Amino acid sequence: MITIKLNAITAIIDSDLKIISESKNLIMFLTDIIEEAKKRTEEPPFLPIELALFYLLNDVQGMEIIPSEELKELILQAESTENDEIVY
Amino acid sequence: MNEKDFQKLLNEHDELLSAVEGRHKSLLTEKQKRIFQEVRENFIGKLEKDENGNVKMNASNIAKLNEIDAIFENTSSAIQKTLVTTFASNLSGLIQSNAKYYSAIEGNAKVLPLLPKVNKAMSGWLGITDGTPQKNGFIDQLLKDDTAKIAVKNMAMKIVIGQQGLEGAKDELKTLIEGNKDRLGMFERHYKTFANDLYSQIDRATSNVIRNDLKFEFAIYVGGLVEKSREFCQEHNAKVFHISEILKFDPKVGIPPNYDPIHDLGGYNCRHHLRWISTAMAKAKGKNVEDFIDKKPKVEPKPKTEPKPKEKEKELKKPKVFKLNNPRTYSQEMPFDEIKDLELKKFAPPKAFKEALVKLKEREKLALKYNEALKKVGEVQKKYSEKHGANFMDDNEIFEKYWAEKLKLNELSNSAVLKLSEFDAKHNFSELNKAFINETIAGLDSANNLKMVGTLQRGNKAIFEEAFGNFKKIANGYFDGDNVEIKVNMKKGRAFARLKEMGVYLDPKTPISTIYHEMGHLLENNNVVRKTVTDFLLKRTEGKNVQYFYKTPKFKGHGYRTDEKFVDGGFFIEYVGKIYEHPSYYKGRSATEVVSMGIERFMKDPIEFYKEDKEHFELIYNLFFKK
Repeated sequence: MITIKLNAITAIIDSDLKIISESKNLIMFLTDIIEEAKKRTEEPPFLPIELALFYLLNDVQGMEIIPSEELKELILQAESTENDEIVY
Repeated sequence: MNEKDFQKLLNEHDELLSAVEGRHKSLLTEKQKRIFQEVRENFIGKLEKDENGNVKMNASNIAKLNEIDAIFENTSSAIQKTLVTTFASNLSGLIQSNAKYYSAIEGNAKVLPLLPKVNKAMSGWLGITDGTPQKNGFIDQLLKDDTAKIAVKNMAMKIVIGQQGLEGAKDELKTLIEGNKDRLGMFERHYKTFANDLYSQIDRATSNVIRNDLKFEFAIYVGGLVEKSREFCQEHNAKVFHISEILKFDPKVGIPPNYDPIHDLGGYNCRHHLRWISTAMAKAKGKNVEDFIDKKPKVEPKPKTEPKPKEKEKELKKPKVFKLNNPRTYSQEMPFDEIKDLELKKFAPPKAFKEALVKLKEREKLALKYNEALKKVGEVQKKYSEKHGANFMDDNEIFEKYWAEKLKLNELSNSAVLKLSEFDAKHNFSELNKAFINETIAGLDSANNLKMVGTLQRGNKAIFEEAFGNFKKIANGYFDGDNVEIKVNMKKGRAFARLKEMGVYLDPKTPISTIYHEMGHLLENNNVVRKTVTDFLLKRTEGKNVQYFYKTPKFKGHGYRTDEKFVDGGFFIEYVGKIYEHPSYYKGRSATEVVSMGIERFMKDPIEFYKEDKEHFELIYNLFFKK
């Protein structure tokens, strides 16, 4: 099982850092997943990149993601069904 | 006062009227000249051209279109000040001249105390306070209208897109801005449309305020005759009329809408005015006053306290006027049963747009070939393992055949992807989209009372300003309150909007397309928009099953909530058919995604949007992007 620290990926996105790794597969994987996440921020359901990445890694790739406190809060807020006055 | 002095007074007033009109028009001509000079130096002069002297259509030239805004802003504001000063001085001159006339026949004691009232009435009518035009008042509307700027920008856009010859382009812009012997310049044209006979009307209104207080009932129809004087003026010139006769005036031709005989007299371009006189003077001039002494006018005209608005002003000031083909004029809260179905006009794609659609079809074919090749590459291994078993690679002979086939398919796939990328490099769809969006937005009215409030805690504030600037035009006319504010809230997380509070909640990294999307939701606060788009949605999704995003395989991992559902209406993306239910709203729908997704798509890729869903495109185009 691979565990990736999500804020490490978002740091890469924020600063345009290059991903350097001896594993070409890992580089390709991360590059592709970041591109896909970026694309998804511009599509419904209009999630911020952290959440888009979380769902891609968690739901699509089947990875175990250990969210930070901040990310936990974002997930809770995004999944809450309490308010019916909100439109997305 | 003898007849000679009386005639002298009348002539002086006529001369003043001609002089003020002349002063105003020469300022407009000067304004046109200065604008063209700036356009020639700072736009045309800086355009890049090819070896044949034609304007290049490239990013640099398209970016230069922004110069037009700067030119109008800088040049117009300086001249605008002179225009306002000239206008105030002309107005004051007319009032003084009228006071002089009435003082001469009734004495200063009666007339001078009336002047503050006249000044007040005129300032109210024209929307001027302490010499400054009030926001959205008559003069403000007259001066701030940017029809001229839009026309110049449109032409500039056509010059760049059409790669016209530079010299011809210069001539076309000069004619548009300054006019020629057959055509008025752009500001003269605007003035003629919006405020034709302005000074004559001011003069008549001023005079009418005084005559009301002095209780005059007779007037002389003055102004003389010229070659082109219309029949009505020829018949009435220099004659004395009672108010009851004046109120029955009917010039038959050249009558403006809501014709008012006191203020419009002989109709459009009429240079005549009424000089009110006492009953004794009317009698002295041969009028049989006894016939009228007991005849009170059936409808006593009210002193004018508001301008008689031209058609354009009416639209701006009274958005509640019902006009079937202009949804922007509907009241925000008009009852649903009073809103008629809009007559949607077919969108006529411009030439470049049409050509792009043809090219997109070609691209589709190339993409199909690429996908087919890619699919075959993926299937070749499966085919061999099904035919020769899972370990077919252990057999050298079979492996060689497999490898040769795979290489051949790889080549096909590589060649297809190469053709696709060459095609994309040759046809720059993104530039075409950008040009179309810019041209469309430039053609929209910018007059709007929307404001954006809130703290923009994000790096690129310019993105918000760009999005909001365009949104103001898209939304123009849909919010008829005075101080409608869009509240922008920065909040990390999923972007959303709250309709009731006119608020949008955006992540600090929200892309510009999502800003348009969330602001687009707020337009459903207008009932005509809500009704139109809800009906559209229900018609497109009628009889279809409700589905949940999270249960739909293609949306796995997209992060939808478990209560988010949609009905497939064949839209460019399923999200357009998303359901927001609430029994207290129109047809049980508290909101839709029709507007927000539509505006977002239009602002991102209008050509693809039109190709994918013409009906949705035309709805959005008619509601928000049509001039």
